[in-house]
Amino acid sequence: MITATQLPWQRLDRRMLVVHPIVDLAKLVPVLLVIAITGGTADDRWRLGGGLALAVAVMLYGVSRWFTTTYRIGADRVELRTGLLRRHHHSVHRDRIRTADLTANPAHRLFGLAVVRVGTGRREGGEDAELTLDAVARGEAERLRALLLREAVPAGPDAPAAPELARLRWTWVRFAPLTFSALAVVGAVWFGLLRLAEEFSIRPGTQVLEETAGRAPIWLGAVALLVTAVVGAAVVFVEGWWGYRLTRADDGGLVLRRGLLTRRTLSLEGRRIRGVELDEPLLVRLGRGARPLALTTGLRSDGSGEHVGAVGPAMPRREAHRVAAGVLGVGEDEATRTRLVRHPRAALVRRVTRSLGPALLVAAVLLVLQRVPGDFVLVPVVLGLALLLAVDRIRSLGHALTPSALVARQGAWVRRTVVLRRGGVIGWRLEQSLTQRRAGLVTLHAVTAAGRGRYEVLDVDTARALELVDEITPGLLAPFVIDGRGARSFVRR
Amino acid sequence: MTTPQSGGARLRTPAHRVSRRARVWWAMRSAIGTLVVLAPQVVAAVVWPRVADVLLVTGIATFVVGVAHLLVVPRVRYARHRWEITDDAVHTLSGWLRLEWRIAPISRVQTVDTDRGPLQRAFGLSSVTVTTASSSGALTIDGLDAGDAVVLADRLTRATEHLGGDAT
Repeated sequence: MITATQLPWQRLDRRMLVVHPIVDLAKLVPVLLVIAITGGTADDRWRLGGGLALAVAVMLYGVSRWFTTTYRIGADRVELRTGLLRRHHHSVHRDRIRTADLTANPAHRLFGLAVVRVGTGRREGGEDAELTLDAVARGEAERLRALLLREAVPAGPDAPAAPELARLRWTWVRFAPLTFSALAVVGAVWFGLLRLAEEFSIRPGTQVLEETAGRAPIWLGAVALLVTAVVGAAVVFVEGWWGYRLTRADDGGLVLRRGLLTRRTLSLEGRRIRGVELDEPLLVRLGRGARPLALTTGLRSDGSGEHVGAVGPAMPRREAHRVAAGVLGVGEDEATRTRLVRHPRAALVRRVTRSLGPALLVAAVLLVLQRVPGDFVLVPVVLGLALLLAVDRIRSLGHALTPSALVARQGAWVRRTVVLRRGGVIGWRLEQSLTQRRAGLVTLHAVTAAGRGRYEVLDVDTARALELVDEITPGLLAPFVIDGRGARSFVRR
Repeated sequence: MTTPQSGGARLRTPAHRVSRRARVWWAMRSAIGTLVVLAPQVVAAVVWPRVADVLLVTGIATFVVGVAHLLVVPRVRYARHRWEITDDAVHTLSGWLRLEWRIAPISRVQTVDTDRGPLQRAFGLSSVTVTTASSSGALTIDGLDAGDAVVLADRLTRATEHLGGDAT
């Protein structure tokens, strides 16, 4: 066996000498623009000189990074040395490596490079839990990924195709404008345009604005917003999910590939998968769509704001059920399509009171104030919507215990169906508020290392909650269980 | 869909209370909290006499609420907070209007920390925090006797160290 000390240190790809300065300069563009645009006429030379000096410094720093960064992959550890003035030696034990993800932004792709992010899957520890090789040649990156994850065959173009769970269909783009991110895109686009106009001192005088805007009918504005929303969402969808493919890896894990400009290859180790979730935001649900997510341990946000654990974009519900079941490797009726158990009547009543209560308050305020002219339209509308919400929540509420997992569903604005493997439960929380106590209900939280950390079964019968705990983690609560016929509180004081 | 059979099972409380001195500690914390809110009002009343009338009212209100908090909350906390360690798990029960029972199986415990703030130290108290791999699986027992806390943390650490795996 070769000891770690004998292994030579390797440098990143030579092409990074060009890429680093380009990427750093690109990040600097807004600052340089501000320097170029702002300020008066005095001391223009200083501003120009300062801007140039900054740019040169940044480029030099970028180049220096190639010279100061070295790595080596030994038999049992991966090591990385970085830093010009402050040297940083980073080493990760290979047994601890849980993820090896590839990303490539447009600059990387232009030069045929990819960034390798090696993660230990630990949530805490910040950046110490991650080691980044920015960047190596594309082929080398694929080789490293396979090597670090101990995959048998490096996935090359000639390699036999891995079993495919899902592949992009362009008809799915119809769900893009229905997701919340579409709204964010609209906001960002309009904000950006306004900022740009301001930056270039295109400030239409109020007179001009009033003349043009005053004449433009209001529907024009609405159409403009709608068009930006649809187009923006479609653009974001295409950039994010171009070439989307979800395949099964040798170890039962998943490999997710996606992205047009920034290409991402994300691997989810099989033994880290604790369950799946099916998200149906209201609008997407009305369009008969859903979004599949994998609940895995040690997954952090990839920085692009995507929902952590998403294994696909919003897609037709039928497809989403299939993908979710495929991720778990079970039948659909044992995953997100499990037949759910109805909750006690008191739980359903609570959905109504909790939805109608605030609505009644709003209605009362409206009636007392008598300010709004359309009260007699508004009040029934508010109450009607609240009732619809309550009915929807009642329809959503349910849970089940399958041979392999705990299934829970709830929610109206976003209906979430969570399938959590029994083995993924690493603790419990039972909560009972005063009103729940009166109704004999508890909210059971299954604590897990994956996803959001805990998943709740809302408003179940006390005895049922204890039964679920005992089924999934036998004996855990046994020393505490006593007979409490007719009791409301789950604890005898 | 079927309605589950409603049984009659319920739970007895965990066996142990926290230290009696915890009540004094909680009372002190409550008093300090009240002072932090009250002091700026007094200062403001002295600096701006014009608003003194209003501040007198809010000050009295703060004082009354503070005293009530000091008298009620430590007792209730002491009465409600319970903990127990079985062979399988760590259990805590807390809450007043809202009951909360947390369970962390010993096999899933990752770290056991004892924590002593300056105020806790003054009363010879200590907190024990047990964490698991989950971001929301932590469990804290406040106001333990410092000696008991050390013994407890020691016992938990020993119980967990021979277990393999990364407890996820």
